[in-house]
This record gives sequence, structure tokens and C-alpha cells, in this order.
Amino acid sequence: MIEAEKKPRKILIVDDDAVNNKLLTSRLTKRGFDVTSHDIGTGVVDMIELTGIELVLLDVMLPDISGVEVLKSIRAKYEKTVMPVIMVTSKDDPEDIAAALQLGANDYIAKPIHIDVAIARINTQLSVCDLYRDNMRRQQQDSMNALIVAFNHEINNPLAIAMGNLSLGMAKNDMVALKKSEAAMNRIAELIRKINQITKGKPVELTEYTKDTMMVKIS
Amino acid sequence: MASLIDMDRLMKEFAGDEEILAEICEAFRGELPKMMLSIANAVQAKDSKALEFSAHTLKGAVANFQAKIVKDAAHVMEKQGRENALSDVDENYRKLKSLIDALTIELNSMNIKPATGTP
Repeated sequence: MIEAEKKPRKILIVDDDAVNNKLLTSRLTKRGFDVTSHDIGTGVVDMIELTGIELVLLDVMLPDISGVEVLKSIRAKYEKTVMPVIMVTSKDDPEDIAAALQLGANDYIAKPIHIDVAIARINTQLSVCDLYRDNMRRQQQDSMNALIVAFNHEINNPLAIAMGNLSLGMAKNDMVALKKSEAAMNRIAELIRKINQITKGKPVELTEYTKDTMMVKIS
Repeated sequence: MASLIDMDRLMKEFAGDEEILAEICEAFRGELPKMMLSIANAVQAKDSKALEFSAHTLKGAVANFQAKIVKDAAHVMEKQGRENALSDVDENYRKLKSLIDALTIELNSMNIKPATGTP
């Protein structure tokens, strides 16, 4: 992808200190991030949802609720690999840092914020999330491919039998052939019912189709 | 009095962002009365939780200017608030106020201009 097509990454800064808020917003915006700022802990989860935030920089001390409580409410809805949260804290708050990391903060940065360190940490977390998303997409694609392979494999044989016997039965008025065709079509209907169950959330079990191709096991 | 601001570190940290540093100085000057009033109110009311929070906020703001002595003075008050140890809080507030006044003078006298060639 060429550089010009890259969308700025959306970052939410939650800090009640207007000076720090302005400082971080200006410096991150200048470096190509799309920054939204918020000065209280209340409403952070709604804000993430409504504005498509990709990463949160969260101050530990906020006027209404603690940053750790805000972190808990974010983690109740989003996993670490989906919504990275970097705590912003003073070097004098090691207990807050430990508590936040235990509760699911991805990382922390200390005030005063060194901008190059902050950006390196932000980019690291965004990259981890991108990799996770890519991996999930690949897994979904693999599952879809396996389902298609299974569909082809299981349905092709009875379909060929049904078509052949139907032609024969109609051409020669052969009831035995028509019965065979009906049986083959019933088999197809049964397979479609089973495949339908798989797509409705039944656990998917894969089996090897060829050396490099997997397919969904239909039993 | 020796300089409260470590200018070398400050200019190194804001290299290429001098215009943002100028904006932040302005924002700090604008926010400072409110921050100091919050601390003064907490001290007067002997409200330890409010003192911890307001001193913490000031500490974070002055830390941006590499003013360690002022930051440490704010930290002392934050700690007093956290530990609810308010015995000499009035004296510490006076010290902090005096340092903040000196810091404001230093910030006002700084001549920050964007570096030439800065995009």
C-alpha cells in the first residue's frame, strides 16, 4: 500500500490536565495521528464505540473515576488485542502501573512523556493489533475455504448420481433409476442440512482433503 | 536563583516541535491560576484527597518543562495529600507558590521560536 492511502490511526487521549492533553494532542497530530481528547473517565467506552478509536492513552489519575476503573470498563468490552490501552502515569506511581498492567493495560508511559518513546510504544501496540486482526481474517478465510472444499467434495458425487439417474429414468421411463436419483437427492438434502448446522455455530472439525487442502468434516 | 528549567533537556525534548512548546507555555500560563487555586483551596480546607489530586495535576504539567525542583515540590504536596499528613502543608504550599512564581518568570523570559527548516 502506498503511503498516501494510509489512514491516520485514531487515538484517544484521556487526561484531565489541559496542558498535557494539549501537548500530546499537538505532538501526535503533527506526527500524523488522528487524535481525540477527553478530560474525564466517564463516557470513554461510548467514545471508543462512536468514534472508531484504535488506541487509548489513559491517565491513571482522573477527576471523576480512576484510570484503573476506566481500564476495567474498557476491558469488560474489548480484549487487549482489539483495543490497546497505554496507561500514562508519573514515575512515582509504581503501584498504579503494576495494578494497571495486571488489569489488562497493554503498556505504560511515564510523564513527562518523551514523544519518541510514546510513538514507538503506540506503534508497537497498533502493529500487534494489526497482526492479530490479519491472523483472525486469515483463519476465517481458511475456514471458508475448507467449507467450500467440503461442499464440493460431499455434494459432487451424489449430484452426479442424481443427474445421471434422472436422465436415464426420464429417457427410458426407468423407475429404478428415478428411485436412485431420488435417493441421491435426499443425500444432498441431508448434507445441506448438516452444512447448515455447521454454519450455525456447531464446532468445526477439519480433516485433510489433499496434501495442502483442508476441508470441514461433515458427519 | 539558578535556573529552574533544564533548558538543554527541554530544547532537546522539543527539538523540531518548538512551536508546540510555545503553545504549551501559553496553555500552562492559562491553566496555572486554576491549578494553583485548586491546591490553595485543598490546603485551606485540609482536604487531603483534593490536595493529592490537584498537586498531582500541577506536577504533571510542570514536568513537561523539565523543571525538576518545582516538580519535586508538587510531588511533596501530592504525597502529603495521599498520606493525609498535612502538618506542614501551609509552609510547603508557600514554597511551591514561590517556585511557581519563579518558573512563570523564566517561562515568560524564554524566547522560543520554531527552528529554521522545521516542516
